[in-house]
Amino acid sequence: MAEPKKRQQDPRTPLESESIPPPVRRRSVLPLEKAPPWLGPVRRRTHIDTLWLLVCAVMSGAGWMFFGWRALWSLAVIVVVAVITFVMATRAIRHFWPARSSESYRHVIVLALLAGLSLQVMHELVIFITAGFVLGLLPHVVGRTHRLRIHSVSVVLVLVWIGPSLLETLSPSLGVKLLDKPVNAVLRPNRLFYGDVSDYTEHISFDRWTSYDGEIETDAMQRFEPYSVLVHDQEKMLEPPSILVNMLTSGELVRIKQLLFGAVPGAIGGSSRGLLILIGFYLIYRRIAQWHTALAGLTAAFTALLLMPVRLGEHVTLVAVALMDLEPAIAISYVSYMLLGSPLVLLVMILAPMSAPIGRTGQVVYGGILGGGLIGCQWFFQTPLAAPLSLLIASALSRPLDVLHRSPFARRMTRNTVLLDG
Amino acid sequence: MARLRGGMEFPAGRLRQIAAPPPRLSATPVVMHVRQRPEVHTGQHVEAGQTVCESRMSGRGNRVSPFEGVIARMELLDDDADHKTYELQIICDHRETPTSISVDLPSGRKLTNWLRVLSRIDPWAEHDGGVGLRSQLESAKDRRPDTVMLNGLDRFASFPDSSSLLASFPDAAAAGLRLIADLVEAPDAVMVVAKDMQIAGQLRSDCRRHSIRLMMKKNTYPTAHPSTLAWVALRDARRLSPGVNPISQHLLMVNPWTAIRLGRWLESQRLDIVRPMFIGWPEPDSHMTVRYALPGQSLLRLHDRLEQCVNRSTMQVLLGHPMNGRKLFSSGSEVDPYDVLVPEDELLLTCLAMDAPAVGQVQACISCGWCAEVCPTRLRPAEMYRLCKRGGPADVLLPQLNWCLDCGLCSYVCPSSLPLTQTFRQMTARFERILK
Repeated sequence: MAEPKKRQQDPRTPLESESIPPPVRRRSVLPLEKAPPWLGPVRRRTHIDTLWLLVCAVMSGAGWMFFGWRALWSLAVIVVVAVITFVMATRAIRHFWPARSSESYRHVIVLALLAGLSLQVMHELVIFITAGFVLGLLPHVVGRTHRLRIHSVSVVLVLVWIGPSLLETLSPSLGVKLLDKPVNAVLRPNRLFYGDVSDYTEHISFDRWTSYDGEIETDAMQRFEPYSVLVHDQEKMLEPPSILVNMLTSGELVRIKQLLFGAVPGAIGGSSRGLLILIGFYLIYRRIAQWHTALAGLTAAFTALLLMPVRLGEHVTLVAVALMDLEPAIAISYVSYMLLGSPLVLLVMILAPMSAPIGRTGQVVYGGILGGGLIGCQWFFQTPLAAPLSLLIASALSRPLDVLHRSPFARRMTRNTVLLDG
Repeated sequence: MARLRGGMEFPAGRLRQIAAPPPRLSATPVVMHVRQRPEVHTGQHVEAGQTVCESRMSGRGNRVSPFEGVIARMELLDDDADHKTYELQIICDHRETPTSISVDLPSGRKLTNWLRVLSRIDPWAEHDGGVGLRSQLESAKDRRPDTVMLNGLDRFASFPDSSSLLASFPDAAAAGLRLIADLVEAPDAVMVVAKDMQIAGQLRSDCRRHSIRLMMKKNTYPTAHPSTLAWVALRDARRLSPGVNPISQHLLMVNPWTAIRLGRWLESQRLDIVRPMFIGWPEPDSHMTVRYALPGQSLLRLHDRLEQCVNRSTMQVLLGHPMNGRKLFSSGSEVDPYDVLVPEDELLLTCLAMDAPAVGQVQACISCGWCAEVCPTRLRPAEMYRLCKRGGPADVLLPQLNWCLDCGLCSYVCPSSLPLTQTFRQMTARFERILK
């Protein structure tokens, strides 16, 4: 039997030392926690969720500015209801499946805020409570950590619009209660932040807002929601002599600069298109959003709009052909309104990144589905559901679109499929 | 800043000017690991350059004693049926050992003559092209490469080891590369270096003199990997699978130190048996330290700070760079630092601060796509991880595993701290036979 070896204490004097250092044994594969890389991760999941919270906070600030405390109250309600539901659902699930991992609370708050910011201010809070309840449940079933990568916000938006209508069909009394009307109004300059946006009594044009003289006592002024106007008159606006010019001069359609600034009725967090574009660029800069998706979405929406059929008089033609018959300034204005007036920017720059496919090709296709789907739904069905519907469809296809990210090196084996053990 | 795929960045380090190896060095005793029964016995006196283990394996040469000394110990480490490893300890007769041995140069530039001489000397394991120089030369007898490439890109931009070597020994590197190109009769000899005017300026005239094409490439991690380099550096992008002999793609790849060794051998008729060891320190602005060392000598003797970190919880020492290096030892680790030897196939040691973030708490994948974005071979790491964990179709997983370069980028960027590259390494080891 071999004698146990002694450890060499001083390797600098090997000649004098009679002890022998032990050998270096060949090591097998290291356990996961002791293997490289020894750096990173560069950014943790909490950082991403915190960044989204920051984005939501900025959008909420803009909503607070134009829609006052009622907007913040609505957001608070949806967040609280969503978190409470999520906690209860998590506990219930862990009771049956203790090892099941769940989404982070921050992400649920972000989802609730995004859903709230995508909704308009309502007279009653029932829509927000319902949305919060659904959002508290959905992260356990669908979303970024699940095989079904459907965007929870899109599901909620579709449900809160379709649900009351369905209920009204089934039970008219209950449906009418739930069918809440949005408040199409914005606060006056001297009531920003604290006014009650539902306190409007007369319809005043935007020009009176900037020259406000203090005689009017209401907190807010009622205005047309640009998206509803666009959806309703999208085909008429192409008829010569252009109705678009009349709508602009009469104040029925808000100016582009007003759309960019945000002093128009609409989604709490989506009224200011300029702010949304800035936030979108910030998300792309921080690599949370993908520029491929945004660019593909905008390009697809533009292309789809030009290819939409339109009936002018007795014959049917394409929007692109109809635009060529208009003056260039009017044609450009029409396209700008259709793109900026719709929730396209909110959709492709803020909501889309959370459920985008992993590869560049998939992201481009995903953006194309979003942009094309939005314009298609909007054109053929004239529905406010266009944006959530296109997001729902695109996010449902997101996981299958992952396979478009192909390696030029790794090729699928041709032999029969063999299942590996986990 | 060296820009990484996906936008993450590693700061680029500063070049070091390296002096030629000194004639003698304090490096005794030396420990060797050999795969066959040694030709010597304990207590036997050996001469410098004497064969201690004759190789019967393809791609490996005879192991020779680096100096005049005594075989102090011989032990069988692993005794598997198909895997035997012996450990030899040789103690030099003198306190200082020579850094080179005299080896006669073969006459002419005939490949078989040179291979015969190269087979008499080991270690020559520089992992050139992922498989070593001699394996490539032996394969080149049957399949002539059209390009010989010197891979002068730094594997990790913060520690510019290859660039420092090329900038310090430009003439030897060019002469060594020319020799290999002549041996395999390759029409094209290319030296790929980082896009740095200082390096290019020092290499340009020597490359021109030896008819070598100098190619500058932006060194985006992990471009220096042979597979990535074969894909991006050649016009007809070649698919060189990791660990596969580059000759299969009509390509021969060498590392800077191999070419420099050959060049210096041509010049002085003596073959260097020491190798430079680059030590990168945890401080962000610190220079790399360079020490010449004999493979098999104690690693701790390279620098005082290495020995200090044994007793103080200040550093962990890696062999290689921080993205895929092998952990040698750290304070409190099970491995005795005094047992760790200077390796035969690695020039870089990285010392990291103990508080460097390791793998965090594993959370569920959030499909952010960063892993796919940074993957140099455009794999889908998140999907691979899921297949590894839950089981899945082998015809989807194995081809992707085969092209995993083990660069570590996916784990580095994963915000959910998924052990992606670590899992792939384990699975690759598990399915090694199928993948090969």
